Amino acid sequence: MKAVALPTGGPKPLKLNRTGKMSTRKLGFICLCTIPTTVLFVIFVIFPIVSLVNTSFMEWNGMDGEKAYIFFDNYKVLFKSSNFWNAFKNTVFLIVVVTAVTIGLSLYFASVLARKKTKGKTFFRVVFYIPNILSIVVISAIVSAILSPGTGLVSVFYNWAGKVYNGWLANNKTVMWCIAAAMVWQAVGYYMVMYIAGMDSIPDSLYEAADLEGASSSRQFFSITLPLTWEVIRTTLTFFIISTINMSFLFVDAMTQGDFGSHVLLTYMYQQAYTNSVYGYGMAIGVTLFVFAYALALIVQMLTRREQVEY
Amino acid sequence: MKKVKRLIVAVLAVVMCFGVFGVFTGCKKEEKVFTILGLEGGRGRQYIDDLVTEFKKTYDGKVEVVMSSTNTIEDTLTNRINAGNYPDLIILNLNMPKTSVEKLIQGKNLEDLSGLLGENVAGEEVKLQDKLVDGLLNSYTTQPYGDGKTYLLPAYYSPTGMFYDASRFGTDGYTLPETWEEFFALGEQLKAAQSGGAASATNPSLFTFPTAGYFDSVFYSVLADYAGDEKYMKALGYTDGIWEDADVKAALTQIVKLKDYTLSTTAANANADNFTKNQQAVIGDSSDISVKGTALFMPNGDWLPGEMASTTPEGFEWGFMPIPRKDKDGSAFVTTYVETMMVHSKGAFKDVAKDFIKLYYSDKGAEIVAKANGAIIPTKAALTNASANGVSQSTIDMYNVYSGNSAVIGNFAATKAVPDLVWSDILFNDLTENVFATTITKDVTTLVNEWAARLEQASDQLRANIIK
Repeated sequence: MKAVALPTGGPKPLKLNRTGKMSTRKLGFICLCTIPTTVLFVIFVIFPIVSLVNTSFMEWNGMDGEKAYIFFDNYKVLFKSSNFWNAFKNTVFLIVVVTAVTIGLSLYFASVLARKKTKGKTFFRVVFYIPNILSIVVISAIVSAILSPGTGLVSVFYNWAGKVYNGWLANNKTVMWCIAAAMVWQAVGYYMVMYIAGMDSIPDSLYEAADLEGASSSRQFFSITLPLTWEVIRTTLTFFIISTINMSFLFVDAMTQGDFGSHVLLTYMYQQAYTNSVYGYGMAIGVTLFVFAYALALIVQMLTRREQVEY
Repeated sequence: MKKVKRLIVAVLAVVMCFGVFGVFTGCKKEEKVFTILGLEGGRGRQYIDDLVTEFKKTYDGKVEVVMSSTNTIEDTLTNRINAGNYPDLIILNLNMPKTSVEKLIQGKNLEDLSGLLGENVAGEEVKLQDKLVDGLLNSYTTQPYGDGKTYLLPAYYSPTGMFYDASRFGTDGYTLPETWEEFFALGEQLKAAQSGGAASATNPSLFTFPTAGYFDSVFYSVLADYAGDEKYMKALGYTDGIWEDADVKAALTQIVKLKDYTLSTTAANANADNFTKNQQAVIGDSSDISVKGTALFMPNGDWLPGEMASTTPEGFEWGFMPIPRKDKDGSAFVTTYVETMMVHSKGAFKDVAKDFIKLYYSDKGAEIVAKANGAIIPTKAALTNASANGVSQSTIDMYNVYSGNSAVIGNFAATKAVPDLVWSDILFNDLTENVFATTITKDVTTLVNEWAARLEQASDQLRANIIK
């Protein structure tokens, strides 16, 4: 079956006077109403961004030292730095892997738990959501314990196979996969709840009709569920980008502290700005990350734009 | 009903106004007082409180003491400094997570204390420089610019070295090695006993380390031992080509050689969360059964027994020896960990801070500190009076390691921070992944050359940024 696009009823247009212009009084009122938000926006969004960019052109230790403008020198070092590119690579890796795996898993769980008359539906919803309530430090501790050589679960399997296990977190090749796995485990429940909310609002009649026409479960999923939750998925894609970037800092900090080539952009930025006392350079990393995340979110939004399907 | 609602709204509005008013009155400039800002770490804060009580007998102004843990103290300091509210006396260490002391040094914001060294300590006719234990002042730790001027003073000093389980050595156990040759010979013996299998309490590995950062206690000792005084200071001053020097490379080799004798799970646990597992590995009868007794030695400092106190089995005794030496008839080099204090040059009570320092190093000060936290401050008298001041015998024993051996203080010349270059990572922290990771299979010579090349390259960059 094909979903049908219906005209939407947006907010009513503002009343205009006879000359086609808004009355001054009304315009004044609108301005007055937006002033507080504008002021807050400037103070808490615009000002920090300007300040961030400004600091990224400076040489400063972040405390007590002289500030000097060196303009693009920080960026020159940055783009030549292998540490930066490695951190960049890791960040992109996490964004891609965590997003792909989490979307797949949480859509699957959501479709099972939202529609099907699964036994213990509520129980499973709670179980899947639990990791999201746990603190990142706790999750990292759990994952580290599983991966720990000696007593960890993985170690036991290695012993059964008669192999020596020295820790996946202490291996350049496996460390990022372990961090990604921990991040997926943490995120699945959260996105699942979002998708369930989207799916719950799809009228049952559509599925009933599909059943009558003999559509299989997977057909129903791809022809009804997916198109009708598309806007929710689009929104979560932006969430994925932002939260993966932010969460990766916490996970890397708690699990490896950037050892074994596991630095991501935010941990690299933190290390440079605070431990290495090059605050301006740290902010240059921040600016690069900001531009990257913003551009990525825009591109994703543009690529996923479709005709809005409603019911 | 409407009236009640209005009344509630009115009351809330008034409360809010008071709130805002309160914020503004809170911003009123506070009266400046003599401020001591310090790290409340293993030494606690009681000693400062007790010293302040004593200090107030002669000083009638107010004293503010700001102390907190590693996690917060540096933020407190940064916020105060950025707000122009300078603490006067700062008791904080080098190499903290946010390297605040290094930043103060880079900014040249510390008071020159060279003059103070020539003054008498409180209540005694002895100059401060004569009170202090020998050998602590001539280092980049206290004289960061290498110009003979002292900007930082040693608040505490403590020996580092190899720790072991005392019960596993002696008559019916292993023999304590003294030189590197004996050390590695013992390692070979242990490896043969393991015959390729995993380490266990009965067949332990020779060596483990908590995290790669702890290699500092090995590094400075072997460097001083193998390279000699002159090259040691050259290395610490980032002299060109120094890491290519044969003697210096010989020192690096001792550390890299440890790789073959290191407990295989060490690298995986060598991080802030699991380093205690590596420390448990040295305890023969550890409660942590996954690692117990799997290694014989680890480098560490005098804080270790306290740090592990809650998990060491009853009756357990830590053994402590200096890092192995090069020659049987030579003396060992004991890397000495120095905790520092300094005076901010923009503080309003610099002279008061200096008076406080004079009290700190007096015999009275040593007694107060010893009674408060059981530590020995870096004065000669503090060590001789330690027993009388109530310092525990095990602590005094640890300081006895200095008799017949030489103290070395490890810290490099102060440089401006260089973007993308973290010296402590290249020097120590990256050793975990570049040398000690089990995935690394290169031979010792290659690893030494690679490490030396990384040090040389970083030194080149840092040399250009030395603060003169």
